[in-house]
Amino acid sequence: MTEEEKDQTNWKAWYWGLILFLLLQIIIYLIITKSFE
Amino acid sequence: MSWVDWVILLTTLLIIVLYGSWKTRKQKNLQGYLKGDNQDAWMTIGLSIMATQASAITFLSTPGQAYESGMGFVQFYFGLPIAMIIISVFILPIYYRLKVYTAYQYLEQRFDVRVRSFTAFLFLVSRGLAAGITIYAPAIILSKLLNWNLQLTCLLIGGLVIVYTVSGGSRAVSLTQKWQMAVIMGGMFFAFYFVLQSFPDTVSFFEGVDIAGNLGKMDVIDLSVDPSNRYTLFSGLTGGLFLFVSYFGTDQSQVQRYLGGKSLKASRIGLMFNGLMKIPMQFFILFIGVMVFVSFQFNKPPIIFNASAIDIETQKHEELVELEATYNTTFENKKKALEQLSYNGSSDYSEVRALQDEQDAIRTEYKENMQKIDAGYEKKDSDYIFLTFVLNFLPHGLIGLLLAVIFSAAMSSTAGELNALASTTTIDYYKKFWSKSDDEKKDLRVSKLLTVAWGVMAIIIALTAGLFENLIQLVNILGSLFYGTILGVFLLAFFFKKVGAKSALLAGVIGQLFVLILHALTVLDVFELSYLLYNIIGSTVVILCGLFLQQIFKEPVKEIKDDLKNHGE
Repeated sequence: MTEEEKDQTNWKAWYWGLILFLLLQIIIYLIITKSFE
Repeated sequence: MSWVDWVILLTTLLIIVLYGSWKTRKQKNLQGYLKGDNQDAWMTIGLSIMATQASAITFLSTPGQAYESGMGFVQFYFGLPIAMIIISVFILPIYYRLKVYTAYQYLEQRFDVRVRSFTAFLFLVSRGLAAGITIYAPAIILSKLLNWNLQLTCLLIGGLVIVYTVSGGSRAVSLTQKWQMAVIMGGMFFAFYFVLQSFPDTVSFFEGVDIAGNLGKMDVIDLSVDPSNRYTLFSGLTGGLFLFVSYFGTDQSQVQRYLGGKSLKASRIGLMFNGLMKIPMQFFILFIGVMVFVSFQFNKPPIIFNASAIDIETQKHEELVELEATYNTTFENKKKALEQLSYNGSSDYSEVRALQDEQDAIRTEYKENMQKIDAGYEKKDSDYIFLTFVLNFLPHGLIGLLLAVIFSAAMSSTAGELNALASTTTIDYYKKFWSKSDDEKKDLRVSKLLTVAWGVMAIIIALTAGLFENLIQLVNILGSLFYGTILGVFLLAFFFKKVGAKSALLAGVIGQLFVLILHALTVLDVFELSYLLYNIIGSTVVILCGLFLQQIFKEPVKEIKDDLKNHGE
């Protein structure tokens, strides 16, 4: 069994978490930008 | 600088260098020297990746950029988390499966030795030049502001890096980077605290943010799709994504950091850590610059920040003295208007904005006049802003710590670069074409000698470099000129399984020439194009050419063998 096959980590959850965190940051930055227009 | 600053600066640097050299003194073979015997935990990998990318330029230039243009630069990093996912899913498992030392070894397995050597060569050219700039950039600023000898500063940074990089190899680089990041972040938090302390008692943190926002410094997101705008949401998510997949996935200075992981899982979490922390970190550094801008609304800033770069006689020129007097009056009027706003609780910033524009215009005129008097004067002074603030507003002791931040950042990225340059030269050239024997001791000696050679080369480039428009952008532009092509070749290898070696090589050459011509036309003002788009354009040209040429050549495609047991194979 390769190292990749042995790894049981839920990587999909990591990736989705990272994408959601990015979206959250963009939304916050957008709110900051719009609040001074 | 007082003796306390010197003690803190030199002690911090020496402890880190001695720690890195001592902890890794027993390197016996190439595996240990170039991959650190695969001992790194995810935290070391994550911090090491961040430390390699964040050079001294990041901490000197970024706050200055925010001071001048606001927070928009953070958009440049939006593609980074997505790039981390792409590398974790598609690229990292391949490197682990093949047990490669350098990213370019994979290209020989997939294509042939010519494609491997071509991309390794592009890496050596771009990274070799960048390593020199990584040393030169902070050295020139420190030498001008503190009246230090430029040559000695370059030699000090380069020399210290060579000591531990040569003695301990990849593991020494990762271990020292962990502590360098601790010094860097600690120093930046202290700096942030003292920027806020420099506000008048009547101005709170939130009022400071309000002032920055009303003077246009809190425009983080730009939704336009104009390709000539350097930093927009669109360019960050597209051009930035391509740049970061290329940088983190194919640039040996980064690949080497996560190939030293104790497992595939540790390397993946290290990448995820970078994806989570990078944007908040850059936001924080930019935000420090914006808060420095607010502080300079109440504490008079110098009319130019690089005045120490020119002689005093020039500054006594009649026109310049008059402009400076007008600048001072405008500053005082603006300060009064701001205090009045705060007192009245009003939110009408029109007068303050007009005075800020006037102040900026006087500054520009002063710099233009300065250049007429002294043609060698560099108008772009934003790289000096943050350090000017540090030297004038931070207490003694902390000035030493902030200088240690600058040195640590310069050393951590230079070390990663030298380590990668030596690895690529050893594995992709020396072991491939020169020495086929398995004499570990000799290979290790050669690898150490190559690290010294690249270190000396970086110092020579640093000593001979001129002053450029904006240092951080220069390094990014330099990367973008080559990354598109390198990424294109790797994308052909990963995702276009029917493309053969000859097509990939020719496509790479065409793509590189295309990007260089495009850049020349941009420099000659034939049209405007954000350098971030070079990455997309370069890799697209390579892929399209590769697919087209494959239709003509109809080459057979090689099968990839797992586990590259011989370092050179």
